[in-house]
Amino acid sequence: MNRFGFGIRWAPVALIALIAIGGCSQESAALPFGPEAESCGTCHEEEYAAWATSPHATSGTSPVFEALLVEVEGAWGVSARDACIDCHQPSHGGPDGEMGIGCVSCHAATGNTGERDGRLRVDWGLPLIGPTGEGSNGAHEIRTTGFLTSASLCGTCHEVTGPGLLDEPTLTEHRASDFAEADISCATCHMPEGEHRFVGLDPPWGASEEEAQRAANDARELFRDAVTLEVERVGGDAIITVTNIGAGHSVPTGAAFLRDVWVDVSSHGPDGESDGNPRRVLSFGAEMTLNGAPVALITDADEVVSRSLSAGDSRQARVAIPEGATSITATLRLRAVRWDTLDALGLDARHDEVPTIDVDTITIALH
Amino acid sequence: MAMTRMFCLVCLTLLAVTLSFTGAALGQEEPDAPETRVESDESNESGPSAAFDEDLALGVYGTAWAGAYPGVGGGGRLRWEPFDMLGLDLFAESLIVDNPGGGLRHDHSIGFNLYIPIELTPSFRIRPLFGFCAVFSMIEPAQDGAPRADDVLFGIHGGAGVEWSPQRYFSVFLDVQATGYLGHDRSSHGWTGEVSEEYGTFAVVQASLGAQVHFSL
Repeated sequence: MNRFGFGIRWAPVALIALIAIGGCSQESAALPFGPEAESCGTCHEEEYAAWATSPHATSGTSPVFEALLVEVEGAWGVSARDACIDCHQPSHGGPDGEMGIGCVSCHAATGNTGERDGRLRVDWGLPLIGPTGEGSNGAHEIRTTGFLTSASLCGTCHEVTGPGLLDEPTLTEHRASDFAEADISCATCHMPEGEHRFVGLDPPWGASEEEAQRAANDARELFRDAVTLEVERVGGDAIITVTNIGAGHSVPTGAAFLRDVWVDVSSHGPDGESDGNPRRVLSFGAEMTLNGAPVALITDADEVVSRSLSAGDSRQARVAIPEGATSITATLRLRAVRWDTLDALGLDARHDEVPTIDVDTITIALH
Repeated sequence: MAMTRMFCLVCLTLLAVTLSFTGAALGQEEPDAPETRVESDESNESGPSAAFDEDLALGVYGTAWAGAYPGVGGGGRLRWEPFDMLGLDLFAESLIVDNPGGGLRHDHSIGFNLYIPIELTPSFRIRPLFGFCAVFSMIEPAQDGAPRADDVLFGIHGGAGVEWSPQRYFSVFLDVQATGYLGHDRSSHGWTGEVSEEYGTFAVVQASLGAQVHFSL
């Protein structure tokens, strides 16, 4: 009786232990080196090196995110802070994994429970997902799913509906664009040739000067493909036109409350000298105000108005040409993070890491 | 979760109360019951109306939903008529339900009807009914490995049915009912299986056409 009693009593424990062992062995069979990006980099060196300087790698550790997180918690509460972490520090790579968006975030993603707000499902117990191929590469099993190359995967985090005044409808914008109709994926522009740098506006925080320069150049080229600048003289005015011709979403998109995209105009006299400081004639970053007055932080604002340029749309400014001017110059510029926002976050020492990029400059003679 | 538990509790309480009341009624009528049965049995032997005099029935039917969730399927039910003016159906049914986002949605209901059989002729009767059900609703994602969007819905329904017995122990029936469901809004498209965190209400109209075999134990 005693013998059986002991056995029955411990049966559930044994069962749970067996299940647990089974679960662990399944995970290790699929991913022998662990889910951390560093482990993946053991074999996938090139991809790892590119990823390590990408906005995905620093999504949870960038100085802007860390500083803004404090502001978000102070203004909107702990649950708002947690909502930010869901996307920026999702811990898909396990408790010892990277603080950002790692390899398994995409390569072990099985789907989402909503195309927004970081509702990603990741299961690195299953064979990893590649863009092509099935079977095994010797180290782990591979399978192919359409999710990896779908806008739905990217949109899981690049469609944000809060907290507070955050509204980042990138996936919605994409779905409304011709790009979605033509089945042009996010990776076509942001991962050219499969590169894992994820070209965008964000600077590679903490990277070498060389890498920072490369990122700035990539952002410039990306923007040049997306947006055109035109200048035309009409009577005594210059018409400045910016058109979103090649982005599958609005420009800027995502955290448009951080971005600064604008056109400066200056004119020159017969001696070639400028008539003064350039004038900002068009702005595309979100406008944040408190009681109608501009503020630098979204957490200080009571209203955020998008000024982003939708896919396919144009916006114009008419500028009176100063008397005696012989030429007029328009420059399309961008900064990943607004100057005043960096200051407001106490990051004035990091200005050098956020370059102002001249995307395009057009000068027209006026005589 | 708490809301779901409370809803179940309310349903079970209502069922228990209803059965208690009918049980009391049975206690009053019981002395007369044997006589009624004898008369019925006699009439059974002379014509097809005998089907409705049996206490029990087993039915199968095809069914369709229209409204929030268009769908088609089938079901089965066990009927018990302990009293002249009250019957109970226990039913289970499965439907394939339209799912605009893609993927296969299949719903499985279990529940009960309480109804009042009103005999218009010996072989034809109508029956107002109402009842409760729980629906285990599943959405198989269109893409392999995508998340599911399963949910449990609770429904309350009311309607009416007609029954015609062309021969002894057999009848055909048509029920039409409106059902209000409490559940979560869901969507599934591509790799997404989303279940809203909020409860919502949904309405469908259901029609069922079937046949049943009547018997007594």
